Amino acid sequence: MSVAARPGTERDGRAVALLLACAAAAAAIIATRAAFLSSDASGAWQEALRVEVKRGAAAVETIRHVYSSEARIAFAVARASVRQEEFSRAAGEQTGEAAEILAFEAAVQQRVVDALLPAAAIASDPRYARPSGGFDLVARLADVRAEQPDLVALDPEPPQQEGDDAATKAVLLLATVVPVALTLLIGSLAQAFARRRRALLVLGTTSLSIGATLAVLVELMS
Amino acid sequence: MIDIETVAGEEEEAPSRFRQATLGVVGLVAVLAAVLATVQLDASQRESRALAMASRLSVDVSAGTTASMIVATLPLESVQQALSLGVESTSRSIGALEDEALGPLEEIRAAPDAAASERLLAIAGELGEAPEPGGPLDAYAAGLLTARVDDLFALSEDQNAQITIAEAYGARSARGVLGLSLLALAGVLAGLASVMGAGRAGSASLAVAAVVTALAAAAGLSAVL
Repeated sequence: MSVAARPGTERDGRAVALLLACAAAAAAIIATRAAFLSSDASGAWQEALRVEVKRGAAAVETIRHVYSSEARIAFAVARASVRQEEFSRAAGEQTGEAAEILAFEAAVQQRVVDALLPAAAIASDPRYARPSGGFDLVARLADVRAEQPDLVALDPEPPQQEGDDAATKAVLLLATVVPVALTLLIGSLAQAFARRRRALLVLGTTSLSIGATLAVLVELMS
Repeated sequence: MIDIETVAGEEEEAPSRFRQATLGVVGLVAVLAAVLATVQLDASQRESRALAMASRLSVDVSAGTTASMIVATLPLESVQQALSLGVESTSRSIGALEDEALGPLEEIRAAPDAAASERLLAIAGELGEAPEPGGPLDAYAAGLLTARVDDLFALSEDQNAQITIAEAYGARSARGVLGLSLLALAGVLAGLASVMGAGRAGSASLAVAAVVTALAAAAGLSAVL
Protein backbone atom coordinates (compact mmCIF):
# COMPACT_ATOMS: atom_id res chain seq x y z
CA MET A 1 0.00 0.00 0.00
CA SER A 2 1.43 3.38 -0.96
CA VAL A 3 1.86 6.17 1.55
CA ALA A 4 -0.82 8.19 -0.12
CA ALA A 5 -3.35 5.37 0.19
CA ARG A 6 -3.13 4.93 4.00
CA PRO A 7 -6.47 5.80 5.64
CA GLY A 8 -4.73 7.84 8.40
CA THR A 9 -3.00 9.96 5.78
CA GLU A 10 -6.28 10.64 4.02
CA ARG A 11 -7.88 11.67 7.31
CA ASP A 12 -4.98 13.95 8.13
CA GLY A 13 -5.15 15.44 4.65
CA ARG A 14 -8.81 16.26 5.10
CA ALA A 15 -8.05 17.72 8.55
CA VAL A 16 -5.42 20.01 7.04
CA ALA A 17 -7.87 21.15 4.37
CA LEU A 18 -10.51 21.80 7.01
CA LEU A 19 -8.03 23.72 9.17
CA LEU A 20 -6.97 25.88 6.23
CA ALA A 21 -10.59 26.55 5.29
CA CYS A 22 -11.48 27.55 8.85
CA ALA A 23 -8.44 29.81 9.08
CA ALA A 24 -9.28 31.48 5.77
CA ALA A 25 -12.89 32.02 6.85
CA ALA A 26 -11.86 33.41 10.24
CA ALA A 27 -9.36 35.77 8.61
CA ALA A 28 -11.99 37.02 6.18
CA ILE A 29 -14.58 37.63 8.91
CA ILE A 30 -12.11 39.43 11.18
CA ALA A 31 -10.70 41.56 8.36
CA THR A 32 -14.20 42.54 7.24
CA ARG A 33 -15.19 43.54 10.77
CA ALA A 34 -11.95 45.55 11.12
CA ALA A 35 -12.72 47.33 7.85
CA PHE A 36 -16.18 48.31 9.11
CA LEU A 37 -14.71 49.59 12.38
CA SER A 38 -12.12 51.61 10.48
CA SER A 39 -14.89 53.12 8.39
CA ASP A 40 -16.81 53.98 11.58
CA ALA A 41 -13.69 55.69 12.95
CA SER A 42 -13.30 57.84 9.84
CA GLY A 43 -16.98 58.73 9.94
CA ALA A 44 -16.78 59.74 13.61
CA TRP A 45 -13.74 61.97 13.00
CA GLN A 46 -15.54 63.67 10.12
CA GLU A 47 -18.57 64.15 12.38
CA ALA A 48 -16.28 65.78 14.98
CA LEU A 49 -15.02 68.12 12.29
CA ARG A 50 -18.56 68.99 11.21
CA VAL A 51 -19.52 69.73 14.82
CA GLU A 52 -16.40 71.88 15.23
CA VAL A 53 -17.28 73.91 12.13
CA LYS A 54 -20.88 74.34 13.26
CA ARG A 55 -19.86 75.33 16.77
CA GLY A 56 -17.30 77.87 15.55
CA ALA A 57 -19.65 79.41 12.99
CA ALA A 58 -22.50 79.73 15.52
CA ALA A 59 -20.29 81.34 18.16
CA VAL A 60 -18.62 83.76 15.76
CA GLU A 61 -21.97 84.81 14.28
CA THR A 62 -23.41 85.48 17.77
CA ILE A 63 -20.32 87.47 18.75
CA ARG A 64 -20.56 89.47 15.51
CA HIS A 65 -24.27 90.16 16.15
CA VAL A 66 -23.70 91.41 19.71
CA TYR A 67 -20.35 93.19 19.31
CA SER A 68 -20.88 94.63 15.83
CA SER A 69 -24.63 95.17 15.31
CA GLU A 70 -26.13 95.59 18.78
CA ALA A 71 -23.14 97.19 20.49
CA ARG A 72 -22.74 99.91 17.84
CA ILE A 73 -26.33 101.06 18.27
CA ALA A 74 -25.93 100.83 22.05
CA PHE A 75 -22.85 103.06 21.94
CA ALA A 76 -24.70 105.55 19.74
CA VAL A 77 -27.43 105.68 22.39
CA ALA A 78 -24.78 106.06 25.11
CA ARG A 79 -23.15 108.91 23.18
CA ALA A 80 -26.40 110.79 22.88
CA SER A 81 -27.41 110.00 26.46
CA VAL A 82 -24.09 111.18 27.95
CA ARG A 83 -24.22 114.39 25.88
CA GLN A 84 -27.81 114.95 27.00
CA GLU A 85 -26.75 114.60 30.64
CA GLU A 86 -23.80 116.97 30.27
CA PHE A 87 -25.82 119.58 28.40
CA SER A 88 -28.59 119.35 31.02
CA ARG A 89 -26.09 119.77 33.87
CA ALA A 90 -24.44 122.72 32.11
CA ALA A 91 -27.87 124.30 31.45
CA GLY A 92 -28.62 124.11 35.17
CA GLU A 93 -25.42 126.06 35.91
CA GLN A 94 -26.19 128.86 33.41
CA THR A 95 -28.86 131.54 33.04
CA GLY A 96 -30.46 133.46 30.21
CA GLU A 97 -29.51 132.71 26.59
CA ALA A 98 -26.72 130.32 27.49
CA ALA A 99 -29.12 128.20 29.54
CA GLU A 100 -31.63 128.15 26.66
CA ILE A 101 -29.01 127.05 24.13
CA LEU A 102 -27.71 124.32 26.41
CA ALA A 103 -31.25 123.12 27.20
CA PHE A 104 -32.00 123.04 23.48
CA GLU A 105 -28.90 120.89 22.84
CA ALA A 106 -29.95 118.59 25.69
CA ALA A 107 -33.40 118.24 24.11
CA VAL A 108 -31.85 117.43 20.73
CA GLN A 109 -29.74 114.67 22.25
CA GLN A 110 -32.77 113.33 24.11
CA ARG A 111 -34.62 113.08 20.79
CA VAL A 112 -31.68 111.09 19.43
CA VAL A 113 -31.90 108.74 22.39
CA ASP A 114 -35.65 108.34 21.98
CA ALA A 115 -35.22 107.60 18.26
CA LEU A 116 -32.47 104.99 18.69
CA LEU A 117 -33.62 103.28 21.89
CA PRO A 118 -36.35 101.05 20.34
CA ALA A 119 -33.70 99.56 18.01
CA ALA A 120 -31.11 99.14 20.74
CA ALA A 121 -31.74 95.85 22.54
CA ILE A 122 -28.74 96.34 24.83
CA ALA A 123 -29.32 100.01 25.67
CA SER A 124 -33.05 99.51 26.35
CA ASP A 125 -32.54 96.65 28.82
CA PRO A 126 -31.57 97.78 32.35
CA ARG A 127 -29.98 94.37 33.00
CA TYR A 128 -27.05 95.38 30.83
CA ALA A 129 -26.63 98.92 32.16
CA ARG A 130 -23.45 99.87 33.99
CA PRO A 131 -22.97 102.74 36.46
CA SER A 132 -20.56 104.43 34.04
CA GLY A 133 -23.31 104.64 31.42
CA GLY A 134 -21.84 101.74 29.47
CA PHE A 135 -23.08 98.23 28.90
CA ASP A 136 -22.28 94.66 29.98
CA LEU A 137 -21.73 93.10 26.56
CA VAL A 138 -20.56 89.79 28.04
CA ALA A 139 -23.89 89.40 29.86
CA ARG A 140 -25.74 90.24 26.63
CA LEU A 141 -23.67 87.70 24.70
CA ALA A 142 -24.37 85.05 27.34
CA ASP A 143 -28.13 85.72 27.11
CA VAL A 144 -28.12 85.56 23.30
CA ARG A 145 -26.13 82.30 23.39
CA ALA A 146 -28.56 80.89 25.96
CA GLU A 147 -31.41 81.41 23.47
CA GLN A 148 -29.93 78.60 21.37
CA PRO A 149 -28.89 75.94 23.88
CA ASP A 150 -28.44 73.28 21.21
CA LEU A 151 -25.72 75.34 19.57
CA VAL A 152 -24.03 76.05 22.91
CA ALA A 153 -24.10 72.33 23.70
CA LEU A 154 -22.22 71.41 20.51
CA ASP A 155 -19.11 69.45 21.46
CA PRO A 156 -16.82 67.70 18.98
CA GLU A 157 -15.00 65.69 21.63
CA PRO A 158 -17.52 62.81 22.00
CA PRO A 159 -17.45 61.88 18.28
CA GLN A 160 -13.66 62.40 18.29
CA GLN A 161 -13.35 59.93 21.16
CA GLU A 162 -15.74 57.52 19.42
CA GLY A 163 -13.49 57.63 16.38
CA ASP A 164 -10.36 57.05 18.45
CA ASP A 165 -11.96 54.07 20.19
CA ALA A 166 -13.17 52.53 16.91
CA ALA A 167 -9.74 53.00 15.32
CA THR A 168 -7.96 51.34 18.22
CA LYS A 169 -10.42 48.46 18.15
CA ALA A 170 -9.99 48.05 14.38
CA VAL A 171 -6.19 47.80 14.63
CA LEU A 172 -6.34 45.39 17.57
CA LEU A 173 -8.90 43.26 15.78
CA LEU A 174 -6.85 43.10 12.61
CA ALA A 175 -3.78 42.20 14.67
CA THR A 176 -5.62 39.04 15.80
CA VAL A 177 -5.48 37.90 12.15
CA VAL A 178 -1.72 37.31 12.61
CA PRO A 179 -2.16 34.11 14.67
CA VAL A 180 -4.89 33.07 12.22
CA ALA A 181 -2.49 33.65 9.33
CA LEU A 182 0.10 31.66 11.27
CA THR A 183 -2.42 28.82 11.10
CA LEU A 184 -2.31 29.09 7.31
CA LEU A 185 1.48 28.82 7.40
CA ILE A 186 1.34 25.84 9.76
CA GLY A 187 -1.37 24.24 7.63
CA SER A 188 0.79 24.68 4.54
CA LEU A 189 3.73 23.10 6.32
CA ALA A 190 1.47 20.26 7.52
CA GLN A 191 0.53 19.65 3.90
CA ALA A 192 4.20 19.59 2.95
CA PHE A 193 5.64 17.54 5.82
CA ALA A 194 3.53 14.38 6.06
CA ARG A 195 5.61 12.84 8.90
CA ARG A 196 4.96 15.82 11.20
CA ARG A 197 1.40 16.41 10.05
CA ARG A 198 -0.30 15.43 13.33
CA ALA A 199 1.87 17.72 15.46
CA LEU A 200 1.47 20.58 13.00
CA LEU A 201 -2.29 20.06 12.97
CA VAL A 202 -2.38 20.41 16.74
CA LEU A 203 -0.17 23.51 16.54
CA GLY A 204 -2.32 25.01 13.81
CA THR A 205 -5.55 24.36 15.68
CA THR A 206 -4.04 26.01 18.77
CA SER A 207 -2.94 29.02 16.77
CA LEU A 208 -6.40 29.35 15.19
CA SER A 209 -8.08 29.07 18.59
CA ILE A 210 -5.82 31.76 20.03
CA GLY A 211 -6.55 34.08 17.12
CA ALA A 212 -10.30 33.51 17.29
CA THR A 213 -10.39 33.96 21.08
CA LEU A 214 -8.40 37.19 20.89
CA ALA A 215 -10.72 38.45 18.17
CA VAL A 216 -13.77 37.77 20.31
CA LEU A 217 -12.13 39.45 23.32
CA VAL A 218 -11.30 42.54 21.26
CA GLU A 219 -14.81 42.63 19.83
CA LEU A 220 -16.29 42.52 23.31
CA MET A 221 -13.94 45.26 24.46
CA SER A 222 -15.81 48.50 25.17
CA MET B 1 22.25 -1.57 -12.93
CA ILE B 2 19.76 1.10 -12.06
CA ASP B 3 17.66 0.54 -8.97
CA ILE B 4 14.13 1.51 -9.97
CA GLU B 5 13.08 2.01 -6.39
CA THR B 6 15.99 4.37 -5.76
CA VAL B 7 15.19 6.38 -8.92
CA ALA B 8 11.51 6.50 -7.99
CA GLY B 9 12.45 7.61 -4.48
CA GLU B 10 14.70 10.34 -5.82
CA GLU B 11 11.92 11.52 -8.14
CA GLU B 12 9.53 11.64 -5.18
CA GLU B 13 12.09 13.51 -3.03
CA ALA B 14 12.70 16.35 -5.52
CA PRO B 15 9.00 17.18 -6.08
CA SER B 16 8.42 16.87 -2.32
CA ARG B 17 11.15 19.45 -1.56
CA PHE B 18 9.74 21.73 -4.28
CA ARG B 19 6.26 21.26 -2.87
CA GLN B 20 7.49 22.01 0.66
CA ALA B 21 9.19 25.18 -0.52
CA THR B 22 6.09 26.31 -2.45
CA LEU B 23 3.78 25.71 0.47
CA GLY B 24 6.25 27.39 2.79
CA VAL B 25 6.31 30.51 0.61
CA VAL B 26 2.50 30.56 0.43
CA GLY B 27 2.23 30.28 4.22
CA LEU B 28 4.83 32.96 4.74
CA VAL B 29 2.94 35.25 2.34
CA ALA B 30 -0.21 34.74 4.42
CA VAL B 31 1.53 35.65 7.68
CA LEU B 32 3.27 38.68 6.17
CA ALA B 33 -0.01 39.83 4.64
CA ALA B 34 -1.67 39.77 8.06
CA VAL B 35 1.17 41.73 9.62
CA LEU B 36 1.39 44.25 6.79
CA ALA B 37 -2.37 44.75 6.70
CA THR B 38 -2.33 45.61 10.40
CA VAL B 39 0.59 48.02 9.97
CA GLN B 40 -1.02 49.66 6.94
CA LEU B 41 -4.41 50.02 8.65
CA ASP B 42 -2.81 51.62 11.70
CA ALA B 43 -0.80 54.07 9.59
CA SER B 44 -3.79 54.90 7.40
CA GLN B 45 -6.02 55.56 10.41
CA ARG B 46 -3.40 57.74 12.09
CA GLU B 47 -3.08 59.73 8.88
CA SER B 48 -6.87 60.22 8.68
CA ARG B 49 -7.03 61.25 12.33
CA ALA B 50 -4.20 63.75 11.97
CA LEU B 51 -5.82 65.29 8.89
CA ALA B 52 -9.16 65.61 10.68
CA MET B 53 -7.44 67.18 13.70
CA ALA B 54 -5.57 69.62 11.46
CA SER B 55 -8.89 70.66 9.92
CA ARG B 56 -10.45 71.10 13.35
CA LEU B 57 -7.54 73.23 14.50
CA SER B 58 -7.79 75.41 11.39
CA VAL B 59 -11.45 76.01 12.26
CA ASP B 60 -10.38 76.99 15.78
CA VAL B 61 -7.75 79.38 14.43
CA SER B 62 -10.22 80.93 12.02
CA ALA B 63 -12.94 81.32 14.66
CA GLY B 64 -10.49 82.76 17.20
CA THR B 65 -9.03 85.21 14.69
CA THR B 66 -12.44 86.41 13.51
CA ALA B 67 -13.88 86.73 17.02
CA SER B 68 -10.88 88.57 18.44
CA MET B 69 -10.94 90.96 15.47
CA ILE B 70 -14.64 91.72 16.04
CA VAL B 71 -14.15 92.22 19.77
CA ALA B 72 -11.06 94.42 19.30
CA THR B 73 -12.68 96.60 16.62
CA LEU B 74 -15.62 97.73 18.78
CA PRO B 75 -13.64 99.58 21.49
CA LEU B 76 -11.33 101.08 18.87
CA GLU B 77 -14.23 102.51 16.90
CA SER B 78 -15.90 103.71 20.10
CA VAL B 79 -12.70 105.42 21.25
CA GLN B 80 -12.47 107.09 17.85
CA GLN B 81 -16.01 108.40 18.20
CA ALA B 82 -15.31 109.64 21.74
CA LEU B 83 -12.10 111.33 20.66
CA SER B 84 -13.87 112.84 17.67
CA LEU B 85 -16.36 114.48 20.02
CA GLY B 86 -13.49 115.80 22.13
CA VAL B 87 -11.76 117.19 19.04
CA GLU B 88 -15.00 118.87 18.01
CA SER B 89 -15.31 120.40 21.46
CA THR B 90 -11.70 121.62 21.38
CA SER B 91 -12.19 123.09 17.90
CA ARG B 92 -15.24 124.93 19.13
CA SER B 93 -13.29 126.30 22.10
CA ILE B 94 -10.47 127.49 19.81
CA GLY B 95 -12.98 129.09 17.46
CA ALA B 96 -14.63 130.80 20.43
CA LEU B 97 -11.32 132.48 21.28
CA GLU B 98 -11.17 133.99 17.83
CA ASP B 99 -14.76 135.28 17.74
CA GLU B 100 -15.52 138.04 20.19
CA ALA B 101 -19.27 138.09 19.45
CA LEU B 102 -20.09 134.39 19.58
CA GLY B 103 -17.09 133.29 21.60
CA PRO B 104 -18.54 133.26 25.14
CA LEU B 105 -21.64 131.27 24.13
CA GLU B 106 -19.68 128.81 22.02
CA GLU B 107 -17.20 128.30 24.87
CA ILE B 108 -20.12 127.41 27.14
CA ARG B 109 -21.44 125.05 24.44
CA ALA B 110 -18.08 123.33 24.05
CA ALA B 111 -17.62 122.37 27.71
CA PRO B 112 -20.39 119.68 27.94
CA ASP B 113 -19.02 117.86 24.86
CA ALA B 114 -15.53 117.87 26.38
CA ALA B 115 -16.92 116.25 29.55
CA ALA B 116 -19.00 113.83 27.45
CA SER B 117 -15.89 112.85 25.48
CA GLU B 118 -14.09 111.88 28.70
CA ARG B 119 -17.03 109.77 29.90
CA LEU B 120 -17.40 108.10 26.51
CA LEU B 121 -13.69 107.19 26.51
CA ALA B 122 -14.22 105.36 29.81
CA ILE B 123 -17.30 103.59 28.41
CA ALA B 124 -15.36 102.61 25.26
CA GLY B 125 -12.65 101.09 27.44
CA GLU B 126 -15.24 98.84 29.12
CA LEU B 127 -16.62 97.49 25.85
CA GLY B 128 -13.68 95.19 25.19
CA GLU B 129 -13.52 93.71 28.68
CA ALA B 130 -12.85 90.01 28.93
CA PRO B 131 -15.45 87.73 30.54
CA GLU B 132 -14.81 86.70 34.11
CA PRO B 133 -13.96 83.04 34.79
CA GLY B 134 -17.03 81.13 35.97
CA GLY B 135 -19.36 83.80 34.58
CA PRO B 136 -22.61 83.18 32.69
CA LEU B 137 -20.90 82.92 29.29
CA ASP B 138 -20.13 79.37 28.06
CA ALA B 139 -16.49 78.33 28.04
CA TYR B 140 -16.14 78.10 24.26
CA ALA B 141 -17.45 81.62 23.56
CA ALA B 142 -15.40 82.96 26.49
CA GLY B 143 -12.31 81.36 24.97
CA LEU B 144 -12.99 83.04 21.64
CA LEU B 145 -13.40 86.44 23.32
CA THR B 146 -10.13 86.07 25.21
CA ALA B 147 -8.07 84.57 22.36
CA ARG B 148 -4.76 86.34 22.04
CA VAL B 149 -2.21 86.32 19.24
CA ASP B 150 0.02 83.92 21.21
CA ASP B 151 -2.90 81.52 21.65
CA LEU B 152 -3.68 81.60 17.95
CA PHE B 153 -0.02 81.07 17.04
CA ALA B 154 0.06 78.05 19.35
CA LEU B 155 -3.03 76.61 17.65
CA SER B 156 -1.44 77.21 14.27
CA GLU B 157 1.69 75.36 15.37
CA ASP B 158 -0.44 72.46 16.61
CA GLN B 159 -2.13 72.39 13.23
CA ASN B 160 1.21 72.27 11.42
CA ALA B 161 2.32 69.46 13.72
CA GLN B 162 -0.78 67.44 12.85
CA ILE B 163 -0.12 67.95 9.15
CA THR B 164 3.44 66.72 9.64
CA ILE B 165 2.11 63.66 11.45
CA ALA B 166 -0.38 63.03 8.64
CA GLU B 167 2.37 63.23 6.03
CA ALA B 168 4.59 60.83 7.96
CA TYR B 169 1.87 58.24 8.44
CA GLY B 170 0.70 58.74 4.88
CA ALA B 171 4.15 57.73 3.67
CA ARG B 172 4.09 54.70 5.99
CA SER B 173 0.67 53.72 4.72
CA ALA B 174 1.91 53.96 1.14
CA ARG B 175 4.85 51.68 1.95
CA GLY B 176 2.41 49.26 3.58
CA VAL B 177 0.28 49.23 0.44
CA LEU B 178 3.44 48.63 -1.61
CA GLY B 179 4.27 45.67 0.62
CA LEU B 180 0.77 44.22 0.27
CA SER B 181 0.90 44.62 -3.51
CA LEU B 182 4.23 42.80 -3.61
CA LEU B 183 2.76 40.04 -1.44
CA ALA B 184 -0.15 39.65 -3.86
CA LEU B 185 2.40 39.27 -6.67
CA ALA B 186 4.38 36.75 -4.61
CA GLY B 187 1.22 34.74 -3.96
CA VAL B 188 0.42 34.64 -7.66
CA LEU B 189 3.96 33.56 -8.52
CA ALA B 190 3.90 30.82 -5.87
CA GLY B 191 0.57 29.58 -7.21
CA LEU B 192 2.03 29.62 -10.72
CA ALA B 193 5.01 27.65 -9.49
CA SER B 194 2.78 24.99 -7.92
CA VAL B 195 0.91 24.64 -11.22
CA MET B 196 4.05 24.45 -13.35
CA GLY B 197 5.62 21.89 -11.07
CA ALA B 198 9.25 21.17 -10.15
CA GLY B 199 10.76 22.02 -13.49
CA ARG B 200 12.98 24.91 -14.55
CA ALA B 201 10.02 27.30 -15.03
CA GLY B 202 8.37 26.33 -11.77
CA SER B 203 11.58 26.70 -9.81
CA ALA B 204 12.25 30.10 -11.37
CA SER B 205 8.74 31.25 -10.53
CA LEU B 206 9.13 30.07 -6.96
CA ALA B 207 12.52 31.78 -6.63
CA VAL B 208 11.06 35.08 -7.87
CA ALA B 209 8.14 34.61 -5.47
CA ALA B 210 10.61 34.24 -2.58
CA VAL B 211 12.51 37.35 -3.64
CA VAL B 212 9.30 39.39 -3.98
CA THR B 213 8.20 38.16 -0.54
CA ALA B 214 11.49 39.40 0.90
CA LEU B 215 10.98 42.76 -0.81
CA ALA B 216 7.47 42.93 0.65
CA ALA B 217 8.91 42.22 4.10
CA ALA B 218 11.42 45.03 3.60
CA ALA B 219 8.64 47.41 2.55
CA GLY B 220 6.68 46.40 5.63
CA LEU B 221 9.69 47.00 7.86
CA SER B 222 10.16 50.46 6.39
CA ALA B 223 6.48 51.16 7.11
CA VAL B 224 7.07 50.43 10.77
CA LEU B 225 10.39 52.18 11.31
